[in-house]
Amino acid sequence: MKKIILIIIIFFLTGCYDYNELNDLEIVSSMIVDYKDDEYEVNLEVINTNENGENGSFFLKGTGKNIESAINNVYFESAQTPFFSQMKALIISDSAAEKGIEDFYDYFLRSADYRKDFYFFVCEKVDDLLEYKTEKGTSIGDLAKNNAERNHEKNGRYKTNNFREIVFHYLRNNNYLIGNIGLDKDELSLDDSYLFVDGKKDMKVERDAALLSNLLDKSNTSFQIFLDNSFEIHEYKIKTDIKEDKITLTLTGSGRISNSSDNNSLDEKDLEKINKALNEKIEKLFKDVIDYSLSMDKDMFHFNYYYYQHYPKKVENDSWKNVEYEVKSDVKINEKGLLLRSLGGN
Amino acid sequence: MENRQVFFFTRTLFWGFGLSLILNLSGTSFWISEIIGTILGLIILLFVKKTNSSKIVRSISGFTIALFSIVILVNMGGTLYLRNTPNWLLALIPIIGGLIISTSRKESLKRTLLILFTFAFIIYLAGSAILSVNAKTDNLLPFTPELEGIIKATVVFIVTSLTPVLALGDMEDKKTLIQYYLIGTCTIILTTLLAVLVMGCKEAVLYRYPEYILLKRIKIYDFFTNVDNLFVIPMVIDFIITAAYGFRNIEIFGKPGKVLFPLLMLIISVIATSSSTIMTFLYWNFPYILIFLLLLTLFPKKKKYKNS
Repeated sequence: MKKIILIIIIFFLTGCYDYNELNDLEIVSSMIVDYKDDEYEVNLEVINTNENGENGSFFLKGTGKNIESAINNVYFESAQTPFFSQMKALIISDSAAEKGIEDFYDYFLRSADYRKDFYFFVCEKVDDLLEYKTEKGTSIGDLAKNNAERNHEKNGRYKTNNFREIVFHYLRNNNYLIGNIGLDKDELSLDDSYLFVDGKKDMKVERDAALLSNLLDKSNTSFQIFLDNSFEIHEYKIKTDIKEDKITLTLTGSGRISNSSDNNSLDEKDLEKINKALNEKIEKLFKDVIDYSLSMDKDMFHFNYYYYQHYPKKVENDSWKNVEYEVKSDVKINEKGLLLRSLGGN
Repeated sequence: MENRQVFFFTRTLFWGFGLSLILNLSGTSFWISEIIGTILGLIILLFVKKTNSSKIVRSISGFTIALFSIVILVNMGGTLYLRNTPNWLLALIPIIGGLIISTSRKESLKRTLLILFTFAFIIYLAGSAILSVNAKTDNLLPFTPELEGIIKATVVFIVTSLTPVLALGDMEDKKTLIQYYLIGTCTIILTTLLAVLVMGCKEAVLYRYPEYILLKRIKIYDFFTNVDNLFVIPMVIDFIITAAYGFRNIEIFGKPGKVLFPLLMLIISVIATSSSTIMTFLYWNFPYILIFLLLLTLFPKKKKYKNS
């Protein structure tokens, strides 16, 4: 009797009821959202699993008054079920970005269909992106995600957030950056970053501002500084010291000389001079970026949130504007690359 | 007899109910409530010598705790995984599984529990170790303790962890009872801590099942992803073992009771999980139900004196 019951259990445990045949699924790599004529237009980029297909992906379109009805109306173009668990990117047009994206949050958070780590991008020319033909085995979502992660890690002067990070900032009334994506000579390119305030696209930010934002979020492993010589800073740590009337950022790390135009042998005295100049440059660079944020009256770096974490009873909406800022840099150049002495520049 | 099952009893009602409610009540001060709750729970366990052994009380507490386990499991499974599967089918599987386990002999149960405990504990530790890589201590700030919230959360912690242990555990072997209770509560404290450190308190209180959403963050580079389904298995084991011991406690009505009560449990769990009103009511009021059960279990059975 027990064995019979056990067999019944095993049969039911195969999950036959919620079974999805792989061939019935449309694996969505990215979603492109446009807003025109008072309606959302959603294009789902689906991975092309057809062996004879020329391109890596194709689009399915749906329109509706809100994003969930637009996604639902995709069924009019395909009888198969969109599968969102592999979605890597959500690309919004300028008009959707200016309308605001906070309406999307509840839908994506509530649904168990979406993993929450897809990246957000803004695209000025969405129609061009829809015409873009991906090669076999690739998709816009894959390319966008890989590009963004490489940029964050190695370059640092481009910033975008994934959905989890955006919700993190939304719940704390922070502003956040979303990066731009577009086509440059028929290739996907990631360019500038935009500041979103209250869920709406507000302004383009300078690349150094994106860099400071990445450093504070610890998103990148290295970045470059350009003076007479060029340096790559790696193994860095950035510490924020929040006092009631002052916020101090302290950057420590290791520097590697990327290029030196000096003819000198870069002996210890020269290195000391260059090290000092490098730290002064870093301090000035980030102080200027913070002053830029203050002058634009936009808290780009969540200083108000840091203040709230330490002084929750004293914080107000503009506390970040009423404190002094100091940037300290203590980067040590301890690598010169493969050369013993400089080759000299032009 | 070893009390390995106490590890599972201690944890079950935190999934889907207790953990989320504690975070809602106490915010970033959750750790104060949970540590105090553990200490007070241990003190209560040390002082309690006997629980109410009346058949009716044991049956009521066993049935209620088993019902809670099944309801949470069905609701979680139906929300997160099997949205098209009917609730009666989702409830039938753990009820049958729990029934089969409940009829096992003590010796074979002891061996099964050893395997399940080892497996569940290793999986749990592995998941926690991977998650700790994404922990950010800044998420514990700001630290704004509120006495009322901490007290309420402490009470929730005590009743959620202790009621199933006292109602279903073997009080004769106090040493192992306390040992596995302590291990169980430590895993709860660690899970809550990780939920806040990894996700942030505001996100953790947003979700219905923060302990499950936390598991979705398990990732090692780009290779080891989408493995939350593996790490949720310890939770499923918690539910089924607790339900099984709940069934073992039901002693009234004899053999007809062995059919009647599971059937009743099936009907009630289907009704409850099909109604968001009932589930919301249960979420906010389950501590009161557990307090009632705890008092019932602690209240000694009246001794019958023979007339001389």
